[in-house]
Amino acid sequence: MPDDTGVASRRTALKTLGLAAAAMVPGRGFAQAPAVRKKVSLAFWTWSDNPSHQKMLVDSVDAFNKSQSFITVALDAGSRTMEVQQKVLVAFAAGAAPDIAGAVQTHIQDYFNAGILWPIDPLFQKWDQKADYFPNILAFMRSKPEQPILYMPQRILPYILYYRADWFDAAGLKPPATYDAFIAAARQITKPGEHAGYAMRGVDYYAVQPIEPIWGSAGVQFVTADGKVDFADPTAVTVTEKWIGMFTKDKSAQASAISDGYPQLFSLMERGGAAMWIYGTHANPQLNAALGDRIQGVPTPNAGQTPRMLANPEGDFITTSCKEKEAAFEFLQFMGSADPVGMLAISRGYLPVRKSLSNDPRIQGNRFFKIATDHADTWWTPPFSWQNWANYQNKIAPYWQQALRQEITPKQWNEQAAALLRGEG
Amino acid sequence: MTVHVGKIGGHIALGAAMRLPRHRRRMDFLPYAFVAPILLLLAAISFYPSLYAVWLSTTNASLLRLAQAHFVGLHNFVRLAGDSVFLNGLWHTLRWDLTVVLSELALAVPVALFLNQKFPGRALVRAAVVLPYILPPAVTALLWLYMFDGNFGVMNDLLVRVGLQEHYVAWLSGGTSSFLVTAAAMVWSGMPLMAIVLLAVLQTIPTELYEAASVDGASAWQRFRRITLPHLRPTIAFLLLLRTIWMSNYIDMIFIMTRGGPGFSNYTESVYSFMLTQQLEVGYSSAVAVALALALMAASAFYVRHLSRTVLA
Repeated sequence: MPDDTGVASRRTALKTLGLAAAAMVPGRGFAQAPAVRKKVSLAFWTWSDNPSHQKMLVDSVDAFNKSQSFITVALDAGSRTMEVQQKVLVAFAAGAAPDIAGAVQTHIQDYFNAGILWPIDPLFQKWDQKADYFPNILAFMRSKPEQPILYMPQRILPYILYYRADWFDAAGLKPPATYDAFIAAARQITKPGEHAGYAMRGVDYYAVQPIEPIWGSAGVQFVTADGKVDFADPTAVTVTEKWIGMFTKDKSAQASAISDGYPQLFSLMERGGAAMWIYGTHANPQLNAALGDRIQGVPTPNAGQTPRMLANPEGDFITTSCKEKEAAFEFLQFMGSADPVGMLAISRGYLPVRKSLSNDPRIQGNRFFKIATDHADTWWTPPFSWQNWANYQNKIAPYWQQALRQEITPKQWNEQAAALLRGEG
Repeated sequence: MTVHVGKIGGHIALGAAMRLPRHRRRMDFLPYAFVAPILLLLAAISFYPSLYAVWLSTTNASLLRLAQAHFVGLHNFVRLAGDSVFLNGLWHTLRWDLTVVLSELALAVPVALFLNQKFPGRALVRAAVVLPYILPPAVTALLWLYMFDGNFGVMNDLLVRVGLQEHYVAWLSGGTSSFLVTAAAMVWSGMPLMAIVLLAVLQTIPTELYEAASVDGASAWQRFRRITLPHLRPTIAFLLLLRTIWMSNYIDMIFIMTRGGPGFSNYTESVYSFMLTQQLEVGYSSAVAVALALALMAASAFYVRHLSRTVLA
């Protein structure tokens, strides 16, 4: 049953999965009218974050295989996100790529550039459900405006600002809407020896990711339309200085920020060690379970006139080596339908990317989801399609720790990041 | 039967072999047939990947652009000479090797000597000592990571309770402290192997030697120095070589506990090579791995030569 967060248990989702197989996509039943009417076997590689996620994938694929008698999908979901990318790249080079693979938006353009991703545009344009996707999701599906539809996102992960409402109320503070208010609130609400103002991450690229919409809202484009990198411009450096200043000057971030990753930050929030945390909506079930109404959310603060909410789509694509593309597309349609989305997206704290699935009571009744859906028009990603984005994303982490340790200045960090975005280093 | 071909009385004995019956000559291939499967297996899983890594190190291969990869000669190795992460990694590797291997040895010798004594519950203690080595390195790494966590680590709690610290310390946020914690975890995990191997050697030393030395009035230290240590020395020399090679190639503990950080402060050469692979730069990553392999081969050859002239002579 849905709990206070609007999140259904997996048992509930599983119970309905088998019953609803024939009516998974509005206006279309797989069992009654399969598009592919010959025996086809497909290999599907994707990642799983944990055993529970893996089980959901297994159940979803089983449900698809049982929903019709022509296509059999074999699932490989034993790896993590980055490992899947490596596996797919190596397998493609060896001539043994899967037919379908899971991907995060970050990797889509790289797959396309490498000739691994087959754009689903010809099949998508013929699909009667194509208008069900949000317009900004359609833009993500192209990766670049001039490109065809590349892949089928299943879910999206918006980032919001979680804050301790009880502490903010006690301090007479309002949740911050602007970046400066956020920095000031972190400083004011910090109680040395008790709790930090902000739960700051220092480990890996995801330490930087929550700041990207703030840079974006300040007008930083990372890469301009004419290919100029503006990430070392004064505006970008100012945002960086304020963020790093929370740790180095204000002492409003926890002392262990440099070496803290997701498990440490979650624990910090859960046991009352920090007042604010920018993170994806997928943290909301656990945070709500631990803190109840004391934890609330608002959109991530902005540093300018253009609000940005980081929202990363995830989904599946068909490889160029797949010989049965129509069958593969049939599977993608299934994975984008109500029950797999209910299990793999909504129950895990992600949002669906289709209008018809966004009215789910589990979404409407969840205060954190509602913040994200109410600001869907501000969903944004940095320019993942830029040719050197992977170079930046894969290499920037150690320099971030160096900046937190004051071995380099925030300006030097931005210059290093800009160099990586230019393809240097 | 093997037919030996050589000079006999100034004549080449090949003629004799030529005169052997046909079925006898066929037998010559039998030993090769026996070893062929394992040779083929080794070629497939060891020689070919190694040679391919050498080839990759001379290319600009990236997993994202494999089709465009091309031969760049020694460019990657020239690049290494100016790469500060690689150059600092030489020191980080040496520091890691020396700290871990020597600490393991320093602990393993007394532990082995203790386990060689007769006392009640010895079998249980021996089994308990081996336990850290049995644990998967990833599990050990996570155990130590959370024990020394700056927010909720049990070590911080203990040190604050006993008054050695005023407040929690972010052990893994400091360059030196993160290295020491990681090295301690590695020593805890790896020391039992050394101790058990040394214990096996200790059990081969004839007790008569100790009895005779005692009759001659030798002290415990003299017995250790004059009897135990000489028996242990060849094994210690071998263990030092083996563990140094293993530690030079070691990634698990360092990666899980520190990701090579903070910054690049725990980037050994093997961790650097691994991180480059994670960044999909397989050409340059292979160059780092090949450079490390060459350095280890050179150091090992020098060490083995030295041993053959001293310890094993």
